[in-house]
Amino acid sequence: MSVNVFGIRRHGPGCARSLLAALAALEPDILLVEGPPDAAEVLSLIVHEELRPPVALLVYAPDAPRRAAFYPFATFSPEWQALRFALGRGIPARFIDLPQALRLGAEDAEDEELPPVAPIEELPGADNAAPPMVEEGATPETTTTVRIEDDPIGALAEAAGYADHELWWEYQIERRLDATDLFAGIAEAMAALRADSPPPTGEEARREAHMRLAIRAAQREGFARIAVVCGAWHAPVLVGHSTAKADAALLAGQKKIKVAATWVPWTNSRLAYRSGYGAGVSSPGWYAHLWDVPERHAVGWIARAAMALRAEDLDAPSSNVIEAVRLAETLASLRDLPLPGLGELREAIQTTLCGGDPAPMALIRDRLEIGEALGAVPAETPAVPLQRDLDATQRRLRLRPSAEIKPLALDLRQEGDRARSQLLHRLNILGIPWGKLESLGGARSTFNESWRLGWRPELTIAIIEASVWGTTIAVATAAKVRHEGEATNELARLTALLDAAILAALPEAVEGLLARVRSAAALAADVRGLMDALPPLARVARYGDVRETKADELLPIIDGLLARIVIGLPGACGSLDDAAATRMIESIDRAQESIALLDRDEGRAEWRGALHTIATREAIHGLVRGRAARILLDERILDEAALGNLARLALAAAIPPSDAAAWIAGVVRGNGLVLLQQGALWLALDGWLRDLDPDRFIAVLPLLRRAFADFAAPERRAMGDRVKRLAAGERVAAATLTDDLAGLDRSRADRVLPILAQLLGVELPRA
Amino acid sequence: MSALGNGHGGGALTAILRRHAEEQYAEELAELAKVDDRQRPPNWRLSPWAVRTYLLGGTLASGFAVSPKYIGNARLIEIAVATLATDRALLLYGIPGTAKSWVSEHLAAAVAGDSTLLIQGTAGTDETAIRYGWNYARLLADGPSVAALVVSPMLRAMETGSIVRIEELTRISAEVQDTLITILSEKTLPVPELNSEVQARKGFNVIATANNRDKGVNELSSALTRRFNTVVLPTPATIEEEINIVERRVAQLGRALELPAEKPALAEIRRVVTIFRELREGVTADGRTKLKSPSGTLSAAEAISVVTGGLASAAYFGDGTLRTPDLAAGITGAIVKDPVQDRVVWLEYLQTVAKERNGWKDLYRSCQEVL
Repeated sequence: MSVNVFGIRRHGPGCARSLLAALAALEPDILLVEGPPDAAEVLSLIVHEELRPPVALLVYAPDAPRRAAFYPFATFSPEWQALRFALGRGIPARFIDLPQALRLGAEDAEDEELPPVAPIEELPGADNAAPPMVEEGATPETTTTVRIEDDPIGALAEAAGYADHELWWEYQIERRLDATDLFAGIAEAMAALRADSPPPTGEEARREAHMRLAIRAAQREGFARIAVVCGAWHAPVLVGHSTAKADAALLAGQKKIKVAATWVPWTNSRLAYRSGYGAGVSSPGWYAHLWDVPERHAVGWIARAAMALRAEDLDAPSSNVIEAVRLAETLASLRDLPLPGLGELREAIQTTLCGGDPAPMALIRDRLEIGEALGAVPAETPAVPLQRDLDATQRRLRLRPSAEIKPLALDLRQEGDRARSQLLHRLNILGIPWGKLESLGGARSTFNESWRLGWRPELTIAIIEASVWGTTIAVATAAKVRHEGEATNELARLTALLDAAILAALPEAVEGLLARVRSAAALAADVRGLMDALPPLARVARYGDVRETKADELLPIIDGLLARIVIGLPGACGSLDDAAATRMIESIDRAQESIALLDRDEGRAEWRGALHTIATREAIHGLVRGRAARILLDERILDEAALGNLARLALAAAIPPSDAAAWIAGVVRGNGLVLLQQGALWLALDGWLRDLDPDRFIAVLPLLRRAFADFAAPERRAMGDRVKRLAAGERVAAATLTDDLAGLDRSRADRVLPILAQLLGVELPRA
Repeated sequence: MSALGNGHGGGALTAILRRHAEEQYAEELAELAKVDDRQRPPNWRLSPWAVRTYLLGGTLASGFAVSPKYIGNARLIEIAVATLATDRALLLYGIPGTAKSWVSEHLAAAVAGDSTLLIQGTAGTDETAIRYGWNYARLLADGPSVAALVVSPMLRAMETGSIVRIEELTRISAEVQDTLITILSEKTLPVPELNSEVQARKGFNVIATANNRDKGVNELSSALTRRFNTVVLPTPATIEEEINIVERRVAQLGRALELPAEKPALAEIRRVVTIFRELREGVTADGRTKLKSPSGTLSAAEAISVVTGGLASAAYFGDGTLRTPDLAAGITGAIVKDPVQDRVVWLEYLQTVAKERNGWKDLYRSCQEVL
């Protein structure tokens, strides 16, 4: 009767190969793997042909799905290969780690305030070469360091001077013919490493005790050749350590909760994430390459890199592929390495194939080093916790899914309706379009939403896909928003996301997005983009109270945007053609609306200053100049006389008529009534029209007509009257009012006055 | 020339402004050669490992300390050395002030023991500078002959199996650059007039430097690019490293110019370097705020000249102590190279970063005044 312990390196392809060889030599009659026994029911799915790695084993508490642990597996994970080896040959396989029923329960007892297990804390991006490991329940300060017990073999490799840990392993294997012997050597090395560390306490001690008990149980059952696959760190203590009694005592009195297990599709980029078990991998694509191509990886890797570059229309001639291989090999020998590792290959590719340019390396990092593989799970996999959370939420909110499409009106002032709205917004963010938003309030109400709901069967699949983001709707949505926010630098996209996140009530995600908006705003060279980003922010800052989002955090960002707009606007208004000028004044109007909506003193003077600069700078397109003048008029910065001055200048004979017409179009947009009061403007306009010679008059007539086309008929008539009176020599602006009073029936008017005074809250002067 | 260099600190030697690397560091090279027992590529004076140690510094088995010539990413130097060992031409690329020529000179000195085979690339560099010219008196008198050839540094390097350096490759016109293609791929230089050719001896290689900020000057053709292994030398990695460089150079320059000003306060240098780094990297030092970058390079070399300029202004027009107003004009001038775009960048920086920062009020005000 023998127990063979194989201490492995998580997600190590070389290790997986040696393990398979060792298992084939041993021919075990039972396989024990460090993993959650709670998942025994779904273990058999490993040999299902539709279960394609990368996948993750998910163990969670059905009553509180936020308590969950993920166990990601890739094809090259030693445990995965070992389990397939055993199940494929009908050898029984068991997980022997401390059950999550006890571990998640212990969290429950020890720390009620434990942060939820968010599945995606850090995603390895192009610029994030070595993503920090995330530990379950770890404080932020410890998340960036790798503990020696998580990757002791990595520590050994580094001690031997190898930056690429896999390379060290490869090298070790190459020199050893007997792989079994190698695992004995690892156990010995680990024993030496552990001798210097304090003995394990708490959960780690309980886990090792549980594994020992499980091995003893297997021995009692009469298995003769027992193979144990566990993390290298645990290898030396699983056999011949401690007593059954002491181990049982350690595990006594543990609180147990109900847990369920299932498989979820995983992605290569998330293999780097770890939860409870399994070291992160920063370059899963490289490991997959090492697994798929056992020999001469340098040539294959550089050839694949060249293909990836060519697919993007970048030059990658074969002669340079040869040079890259030579350089990688020379670099390796200069560094006294037997073979080029990922570092050498990366440098060789950048130096020869990319001409030193680091930009294409981001492509190599995404396409090759991480890879874009997405796993798949068979249909009979048990439901994911996200689905259960959705069911529970739907029950709680009394919002049953039905295939029939029906409208739903929500009043956001009511708590229940607000929660429903949040759920629908969140599902939309997750790509589960159950409800479609018909309108977001009206022009006048900010608290109504009307939706159309319709459940389709394929949404169930969307839920499974969305479950990679997390186990509850709230956590998953926040994680997805955060990820998308990281992925884009486009200001408009970010503010749209921000809008969505606020509607979906995701305060933590909103915080992150605000920081992203701030940094994107600093980089945005396009002043129009900055101005277009203002309205959503201003809306939220102003009406945020309906949804209880804080405005305090938004205001500094708005101020930052405004400062940049004010500095850049005059420059951005230069050299515009007609179409660009039209877009520019639309953006200016939006910014002006937002500033008026915010109604704050910060930045307003500077904004008006910028508009003033524009209004008076002759090189700027007439439309923009006119618009700026008009806004200043509405804001009462320019008085009638000043506007008249500007008008005279803009409409002077020296100015080409088309420019002058554009200026008028800019000025007259918007509220016509305010315009009516501007005697000086009309005078200047009138004088300009009279001085035009017939040809020019005919040329500008269509432009003028268009400028006034948007006004309602009564407004146009009033303007016409005004101009007519100008011609008759009437100059008094207030005359309109006095004239109208003449035809008034005083006795009838007097009867209205007391009520009117009451409505306005003023004292009625004694007649 | 070499007779002077080998002299023992005579009067003529001290009058020379700058000595060649292989003369200045002759002792280090000799010590390295003594302990170097690893394999040397043909015609190399040192093994690649020893070349690496010469560039990056270290202590030899004999206890001799080799000074570091390049402070920064060791992996880049390893790539450069490995490139030369694979017979590939090396192109050192980077913004001005990143020690490209310095590295190329020391590489040539360590590998070939001779850094003087140099072709200075300019808009006026013609083919004869890269291939060969003719001694016309001889040519007319004797007709075409080897004796009538005027040998270029390139030809000499090929004949002796040495390393030739090309400075500012991208300033050479495209037609002349093309001359390099045959040399780099065939390693021969045909001389049709004599119906012969010069074949490169083992050990021959080319180290070129180019500036990647002057885009479009004479950008390398893709045929030429792919004959080079390109190593991009970055700006100093940490602020401490950069402050260190600026402080040391300013002190040296101050001595050379015999400025009567006090040594500048470290705080002022730190502030200049901080501004330059933040603008260059487009993000504040705390990583919180993103910034636009101006069109200039803002290298450590420019920080040095701003501080030196400030020192001169303090010495001749102020009280001899470097103060913020002395620096403001220099900083603004270094940043605002383009009167429209860069001005916006600098204004934004002042408004969003400098204004809010503790103890930067004086700088903010001084810079606002000069803008």
